[in-house]
Amino acid sequence: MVPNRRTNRPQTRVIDSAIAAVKVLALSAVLIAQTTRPLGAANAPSTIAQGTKARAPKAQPARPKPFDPHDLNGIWSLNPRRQMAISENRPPMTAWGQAKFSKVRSSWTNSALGVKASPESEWNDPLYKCDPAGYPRTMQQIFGEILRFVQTPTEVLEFFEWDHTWRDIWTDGRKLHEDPEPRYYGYSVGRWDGDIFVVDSNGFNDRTWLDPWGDVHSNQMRLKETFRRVDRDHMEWTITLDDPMTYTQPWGPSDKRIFELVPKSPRSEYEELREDFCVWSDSAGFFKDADTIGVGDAPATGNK
Amino acid sequence: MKPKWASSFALVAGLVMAGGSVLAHHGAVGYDYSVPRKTLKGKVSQFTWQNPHTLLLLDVEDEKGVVVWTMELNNPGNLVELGWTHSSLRPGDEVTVTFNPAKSKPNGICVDVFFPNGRKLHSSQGCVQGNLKSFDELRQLDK
Repeated sequence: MVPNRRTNRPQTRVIDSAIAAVKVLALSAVLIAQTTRPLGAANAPSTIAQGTKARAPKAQPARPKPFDPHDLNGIWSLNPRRQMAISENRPPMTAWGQAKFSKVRSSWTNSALGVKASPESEWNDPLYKCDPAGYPRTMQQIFGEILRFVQTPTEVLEFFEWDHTWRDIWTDGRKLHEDPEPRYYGYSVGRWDGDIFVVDSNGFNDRTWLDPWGDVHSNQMRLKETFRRVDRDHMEWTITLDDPMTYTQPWGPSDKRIFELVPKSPRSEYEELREDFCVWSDSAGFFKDADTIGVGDAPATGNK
Repeated sequence: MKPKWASSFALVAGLVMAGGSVLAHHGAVGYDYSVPRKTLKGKVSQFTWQNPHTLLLLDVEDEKGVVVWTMELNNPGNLVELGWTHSSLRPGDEVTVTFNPAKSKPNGICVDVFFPNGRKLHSSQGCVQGNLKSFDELRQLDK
């Protein structure tokens, strides 16, 4: 339930949405009235400045579009979409973390993270076996980074286009599990801190990479994220990782990643998120029949 | 000094499903970007709209008969961003394609498709520029 700020009494989300819609319509009407000028007014000479050159009308600053910072509903696409790690200031790894990281055979190079692309025959990125991307990789991988938030009275559902999957972010006050079942997308709870939606997560299995370069984690990983809608069309996201089994210090917070509100996913033909599955039978057949060298995709903007 | 475009090429989607055991059973084709791009006219026999990469199979007639050329395109999500849809091509369509050819097989990459009405669709899969000789060289570039 969303608390009513004035009375502290819970209201249903439907009523809140209706009230917000009426406010938007009312505000829009005011904005239209304020920015509409009589025809010819812009060219009318000033009576005060008679005999002098009429001054051009002062440009009106663009008025911000109204929005509710507690409304995260919609499809959001990272802008620009790009390969990311939490940051390039990765903290030192523990011996356990080093041993796990030493087994990574990445298909990309990132010298700041100490990663050099391996020969293709050695690649062992779990995505290449159609394993789930998991969290946070789905938010740091270029074909991911497209999500849909749907808010209900008890949770925020975060749908991810890649793998056509989701995670539940519970907002009903429950706590994280003490001994959670390990999952690819973990277990999450969320709360509002002013206009910032803070998400705490645990319960991750250790089978995923954090990013395209193979940074590793354990099942003790905990994440803290912030989502902040800064205007109608933009939302900032940050992430901090705390995994004492893998890293000697917390990693993060990341810089603010900007998501843009979009009418539909840029990768989908329709308004729904794309059904973007990795299907092993298709992948195995692709390598068998097409016999490529396994190149990745060049930027979607093309190289004409 | 790394050219400006290099960083953008590093920002690519690695949708290659390279299970080691699968790759061990066939050799790599390899694409040589040092040879000129090739242009062919053919009839679409198959347009497979799926991950990891959409495939366009073209029946191309030459003096010996019909050769099936396989064009490796982006994954469907990337193609949508480039203006394609799942029905952009259908079996029987007559098109002209320009691409970088593979060294020893009738395969192509970095494909432009030209329709009889003048329309063009581009697949950026495997496109490289500058002095790079192969996509492997691109992967070695630092992010």
